[in-house]
Amino acid sequence: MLFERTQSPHDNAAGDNGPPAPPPEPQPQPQDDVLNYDVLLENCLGDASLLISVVAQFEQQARTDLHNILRALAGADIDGVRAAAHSLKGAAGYLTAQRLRSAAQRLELAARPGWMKLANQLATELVRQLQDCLGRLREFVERAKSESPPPIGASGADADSAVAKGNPG
Amino acid sequence: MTILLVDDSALSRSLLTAALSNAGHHVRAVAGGRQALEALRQAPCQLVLCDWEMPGMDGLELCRLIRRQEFGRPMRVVLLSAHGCEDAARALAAGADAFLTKPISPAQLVERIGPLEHAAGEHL
Repeated sequence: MLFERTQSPHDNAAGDNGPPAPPPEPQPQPQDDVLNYDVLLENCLGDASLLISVVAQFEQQARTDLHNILRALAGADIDGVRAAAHSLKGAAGYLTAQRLRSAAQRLELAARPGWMKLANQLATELVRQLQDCLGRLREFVERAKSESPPPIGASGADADSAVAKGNPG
Repeated sequence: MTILLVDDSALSRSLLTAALSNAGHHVRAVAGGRQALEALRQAPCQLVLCDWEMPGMDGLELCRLIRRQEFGRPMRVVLLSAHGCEDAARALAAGADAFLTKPISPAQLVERIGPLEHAAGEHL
């Protein structure tokens, strides 16, 4: 069996049955201020065209998640808020967007009955973090474009149903 | 390994498919549990790498269904969750072989599933 955690701080799920407690404040991390181009490029295997594609996918997903969050907040749909915030948290994690991930996590944890006022406040902060993140990512895309030829017909490429065959080694 | 990646996030599918393929694995990627079951009926794989929280059928339910059905070959199932260790027991009970927490970098994921490749080979 291979049961292991890759990261342990403040990852408690929302939705437990215990008494409500304030959402834990994520501990500041050294990389909190940095959405790191080099780390993101490394996660994209050094492939600038993949980075550009991934950022495009992130923008699309983030806009959908934010739309769903705001719609759920307007309808006091706690499960909808939690699910959309969770989705955005995951996407931010893959991009190493720590501040955005933390903001999404706080909102996810605050998605509980009676906490909608707090959730709305946290959503405002989430929007701000998302705008900052998207601005930085657009800079990354420009940098990536300058470092590699533009992808041929690969913008926003999706891996859906694709069979990606690697080197059998 | 032949891997079926199941994740509703296109971003996640892109990054993980690229990383796993680059590591020499043969990867198919689908966006949900029902698509995963259909893909496995058509062509079983050695490892199902599945996100936990997905709309419709979640990863836990998919894992249970995989264990209940006969696909003609043994398959490893790894669940990915952004929640904590409390999910590990549920994953184990559902028949998962491994449970990994997010965030996880593509490189970390490739490293973590490495030991399963030899184990899968022993069965297949």
